[in-house]
Amino acid sequence: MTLSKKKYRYIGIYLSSHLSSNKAGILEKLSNRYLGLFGSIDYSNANIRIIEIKDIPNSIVILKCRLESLTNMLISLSLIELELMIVSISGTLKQLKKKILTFLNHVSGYQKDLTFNFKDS
Amino acid sequence: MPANRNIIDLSVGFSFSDTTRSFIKKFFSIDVLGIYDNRLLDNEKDSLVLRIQNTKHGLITTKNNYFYLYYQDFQGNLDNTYGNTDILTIYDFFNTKNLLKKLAGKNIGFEFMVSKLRYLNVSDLGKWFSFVKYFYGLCKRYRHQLILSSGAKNIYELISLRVINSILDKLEVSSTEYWFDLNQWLSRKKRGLIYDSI
Repeated sequence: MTLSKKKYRYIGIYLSSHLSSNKAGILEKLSNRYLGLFGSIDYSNANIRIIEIKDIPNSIVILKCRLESLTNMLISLSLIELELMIVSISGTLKQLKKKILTFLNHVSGYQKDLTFNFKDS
Repeated sequence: MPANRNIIDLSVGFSFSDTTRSFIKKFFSIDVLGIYDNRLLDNEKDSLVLRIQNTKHGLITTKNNYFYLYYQDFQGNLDNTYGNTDILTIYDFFNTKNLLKKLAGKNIGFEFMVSKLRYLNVSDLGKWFSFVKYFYGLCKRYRHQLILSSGAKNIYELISLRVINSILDKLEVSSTEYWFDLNQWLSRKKRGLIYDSI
């Protein structure tokens, strides 16, 4: 019997200011949407987790899920009534962190010229 | 996959500057944006499509040199639908077959807003996916174009290329084919530009 390694994807999500204090609430809403749309078996296979890492601001949450469930995960994230933005998706935390930092630098560098305000959209 | 393929979101319902447009291109991978208001934008008109509501009272245009499309919200029947409408935005389920058959040959874009789906319960969402799947088949048969737009009212409601492709995947629509068809449809709609003296 051969054992194949399970592949995961990390999803970096930017949260509006009033969401960043309630990351567990986001996971609950996401789980409910996922369960409703794709069912409990698919949900259990997705293995969705919140990943805590240092040096990342509170406005970012990182979720981990199985590669096969990424499509369902993205749909569920996009169809919940929360002010969040998918910043990047990566197979490694190192790459994800890099992309998140690029995003944060871009936002802080151009905040003056950006028409929207992330905090009060 | 064609090299000149653009990723298109034909309905962005908030005003934004050129810097924000670059931001959207970089982080959402959207090349062409459909806008209702162009007051804050000066450059790169090629990546913008001005949406003009088609009414029987005539068209009101305020800006020049934009590629434009006429749109209408579909009200459930054809009585209030005008001949030169390019996009019909669909909010409800209805008897699609007769409508699409009647409009065959007009090459209309039938648009669905993803932002509206956020507020649906799961059973209505399931119905939506089933409806749009069927609708896409009819669009193909009667030569219309299916359009998935974000319908975003703020930056958080925008959807990236990756998310649109995920939705297309669930609708059993080939994303390569969808983007190719949408680009073709849009280029066929380039009837001219508005030049006014304001």
